[in-house]
Amino acid sequence: MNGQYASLLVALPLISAFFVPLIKGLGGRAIKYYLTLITALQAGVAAWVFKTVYSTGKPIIVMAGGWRPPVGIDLYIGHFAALFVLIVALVSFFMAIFSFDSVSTEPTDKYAMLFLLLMLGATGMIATGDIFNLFVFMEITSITAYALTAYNKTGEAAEAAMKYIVLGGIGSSFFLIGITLIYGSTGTLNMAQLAQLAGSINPTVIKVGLSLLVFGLAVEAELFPLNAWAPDAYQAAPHPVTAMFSAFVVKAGLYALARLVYLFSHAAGWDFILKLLVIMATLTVFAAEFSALRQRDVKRMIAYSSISQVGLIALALSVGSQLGVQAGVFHMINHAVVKTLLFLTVGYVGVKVGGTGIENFSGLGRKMPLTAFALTVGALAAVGIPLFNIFWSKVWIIIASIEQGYAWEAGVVLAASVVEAVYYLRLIHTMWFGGWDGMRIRESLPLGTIALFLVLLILAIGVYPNPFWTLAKSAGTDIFNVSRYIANVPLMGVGP
Amino acid sequence: MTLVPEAYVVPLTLFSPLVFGVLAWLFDRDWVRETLGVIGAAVPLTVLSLAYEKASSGTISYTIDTGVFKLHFVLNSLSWYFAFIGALVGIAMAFGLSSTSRRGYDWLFSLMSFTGVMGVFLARDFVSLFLFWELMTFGSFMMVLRRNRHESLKYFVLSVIGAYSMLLAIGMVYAKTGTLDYAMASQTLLLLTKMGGVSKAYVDTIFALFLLAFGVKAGVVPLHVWAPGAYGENDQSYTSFFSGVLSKAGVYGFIITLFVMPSLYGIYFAMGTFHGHLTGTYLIAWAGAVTVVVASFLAVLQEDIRKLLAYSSVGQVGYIILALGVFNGVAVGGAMFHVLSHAMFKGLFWLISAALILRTGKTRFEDFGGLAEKMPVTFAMALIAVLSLAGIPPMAGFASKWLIYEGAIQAHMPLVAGTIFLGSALAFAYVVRFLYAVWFGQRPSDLDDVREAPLPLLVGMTVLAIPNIVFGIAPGLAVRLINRFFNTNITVNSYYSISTPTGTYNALSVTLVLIVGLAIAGLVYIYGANARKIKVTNTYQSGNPVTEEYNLVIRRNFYRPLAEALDFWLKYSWDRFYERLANLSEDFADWLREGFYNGNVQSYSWYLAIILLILAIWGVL
Repeated sequence: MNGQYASLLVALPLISAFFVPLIKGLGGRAIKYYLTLITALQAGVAAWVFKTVYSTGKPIIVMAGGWRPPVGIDLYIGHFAALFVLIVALVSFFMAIFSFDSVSTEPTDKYAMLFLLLMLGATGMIATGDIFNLFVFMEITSITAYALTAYNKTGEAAEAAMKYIVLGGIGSSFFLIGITLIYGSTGTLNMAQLAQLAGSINPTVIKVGLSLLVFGLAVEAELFPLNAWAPDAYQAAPHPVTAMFSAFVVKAGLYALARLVYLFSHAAGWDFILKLLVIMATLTVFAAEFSALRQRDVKRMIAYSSISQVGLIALALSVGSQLGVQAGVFHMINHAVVKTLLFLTVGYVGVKVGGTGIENFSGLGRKMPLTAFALTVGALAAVGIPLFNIFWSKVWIIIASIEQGYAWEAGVVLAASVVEAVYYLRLIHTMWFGGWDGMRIRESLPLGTIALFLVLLILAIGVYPNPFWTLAKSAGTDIFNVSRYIANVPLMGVGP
Repeated sequence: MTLVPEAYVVPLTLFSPLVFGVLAWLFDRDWVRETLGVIGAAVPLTVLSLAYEKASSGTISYTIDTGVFKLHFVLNSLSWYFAFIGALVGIAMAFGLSSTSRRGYDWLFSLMSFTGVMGVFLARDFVSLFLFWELMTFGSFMMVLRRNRHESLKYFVLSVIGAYSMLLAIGMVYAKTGTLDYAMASQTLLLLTKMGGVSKAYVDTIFALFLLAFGVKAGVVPLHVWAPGAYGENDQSYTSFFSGVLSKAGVYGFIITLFVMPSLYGIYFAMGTFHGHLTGTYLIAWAGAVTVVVASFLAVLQEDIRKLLAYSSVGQVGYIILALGVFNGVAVGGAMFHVLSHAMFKGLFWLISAALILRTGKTRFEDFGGLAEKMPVTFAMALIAVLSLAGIPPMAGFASKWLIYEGAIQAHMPLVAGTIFLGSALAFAYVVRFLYAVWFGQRPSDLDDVREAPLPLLVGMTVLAIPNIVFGIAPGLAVRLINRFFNTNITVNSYYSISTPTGTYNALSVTLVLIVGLAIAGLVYIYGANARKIKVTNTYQSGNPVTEEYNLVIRRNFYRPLAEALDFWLKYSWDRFYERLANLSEDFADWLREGFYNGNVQSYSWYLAIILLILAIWGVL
């Protein structure tokens, strides 16, 4: 099949989103079935793309309108994008199923539309090969994210969305200025060509441009201290949306950050940016872990934990070695699996028991054994116990950062991880050994299946990490090895 | 050897406990669960016994390729020695659990830590070490979590701090050497230190981090605070393994840093000397000595049988650390021997306390008394354990302590030797209390229908009691094992007799003299003494009236005068220090959250402005 069909990854959710109003009349359930169907289709396409990329070993370059880059906008679906597009689609599919139980606020048609656009935006951010296109997709992602944050129509939700809008707005404006500066200096927006030209741009322009890009993306990537919007937004958003935020929206931001930083690795002052990112990432981990320590709301606690893990990924991506990037990508995969599971189960408890406060988790082990079991596995994985998946990526991240001379940062991150262990273990203790009111709650079969699937995945990666580590290695190399990236894009006139 | 092919020795030893533990958890029915669990614990013991010939003459290696890391395991005479001790206590624990636990949960996690500890002993590279170390910690932690959240968190936080220090150290080793194999990493590091590729501070940091990591598990003061709670608030059968073997994983870690990684060994010489002793090891010796003294004093003052045993365990492991720090052949040989004897007698002690708690449901000394008649077999076992711990020949505990003492004297460390002496005296003080308050004296009326411990528990005790006697009468057996992997400078004259450069201990003749002496004393008692039979209730107080507020019977507040004398020191407690530290960090967490994530979008915008400012300043400069 022609590689150009990969453009369906962007086209399918976009078109389907606009069809939502047409089936609105069929009622809320029909819309949710529609959502499930579309995400399943998207997962199918993504799986096909994934298979193609990994079996041929070559990236798929989709050229819009048949124009070769840099004139036309291209989608670059390399090893990283193919993997993450699949993760985005799968997580969306699971969350579409979860939406049946967890989203009852009207208007569900708007919800479905925004849901699809959020998926589209993240997919686009990961797949695009054009920096302005990246901005467009980022805006799609963040605007739908603002709307979805406010979707629950509560006061907190509105406030959280407001904060998110203000901070996200500032971030993306500066991002746009950065693009303008770089475009003004190079005359191109194509990322491959930018990478080629990076060494020859005026050092001041590239310094300012790159720092503005990094600044804008750091808001999306939840780096300290630009992540203050995140806990509120995570807590206020509908449960499936929170899982999506954590599993791929923030990952798209991180990816874009890493991609741009490594594209400009020849730029003047690059080392400073990396150092700044390392410091911000370390502080992210530290501040988030401590903030989670005395959190009484489990969903918010896991939101903080998610932020800290994101900081860990950012640390890995910004230590500036191939091993670091690979470890970071591996952690991205693991974190996506674990946090989907955690937000799914916590959200499900919130729906069934009527809140996500810690008191609702008391005696959960007997009230909802399957959910509690899945939540326990997720929590233990997040702590980084061996034989669970995060253990491996965490070890590699620590090794990679020490190797690059960031031993202190590794120490701080590990110290913060001690805190993480404390609050997760408190949760586990409450669930299994807390008081029980004697009510047994029936657990839903599809959600149970999803949770079990994720649990098995966590254990499978934990016991035998090799296949996933291989995936992460090739995906990481895709980000780190810029010269191969340039060589893969058939640049018109300027390429080889 | 034909029974178990060589390729299966290591995987069977490593994984059978875990696999059977999972099975016991899944098939959680009476008998099924116990049978599966005992099989899981018996397999490593059997396999290791069969592999003895091969392991003592050569090595059996095994590699697992996870793709991410290659995990190497080696069974040689050193790892065999430790693993065998572990497996021996493991089977005793399994018998004990059959009586004391009715839950698949307990079997799963106790056998998980069994697998973990075996992995730690057999590992030959840092990733395997760390992986199994965490598994071991996690299993034991889950055992405490079920019973006491606070104590389990204390244990886990300290363990995690230890584990992450280890991870940091491992990362630092890997960053410089590019390998995770003990031998390779050590050689490369040594070479790099000599050529100046690694600074001395860097190696010192690695060394300090490793000591911190292993010190937590070994319970070296001031990292011991988790031990009383974690040992006490647990299934006591499991504690026999926890205190008997898991603490030895910490000791084993010290051995790795001291002897298996000669590059770290090399830094002792680089660290210089202090009064003629190598500074690095001298520090370790004193850490051990402080542990011995502090923990023994605290053990004396306990009113709860579990706390007493827990502090005593910390103190006894202190002896081992001390001996490793003395750092000569005899002392290290003694340390290795004490690993064996401590595992045997302390495992036995905990099984006895399991039996006591199972049959009486009581834990405080004041509730016990006169149980010797009711539980005669358990009492016999307790007598063996007490004699061994107090270091009375002909038990294993005497032989090993004697070697450590000899070693310290030879190394010209009189003060350190003095602490051994003090520790022994204190040990005597607290075991006397255990012996008298529990077994003799007046029996509280609610203990009148106490029965003998159940059979599996007695089997477990026997398994541990026999080595106490065997290695006590034949210390040459143990020394011969130790000489295979470490040049101890101790000569084995025969099974019964061992010699150090300064002295000879003939266990058989000591035993014979002891038996003859006891026989004479017995004869004198029966025929010669002017004895008068009185009832236990007929006590007399040397003319002093007994008041309720100062009532020092052996079962209650017996050592209160000592506590009053130590008043000044007891004001300082590491336990409280850590609690305060934990509270401080919780307050800090609140402060950080409320200060930073304060919900005010204006301050959030300021954060953005600050970062922009930093970028701008950098852009200008």
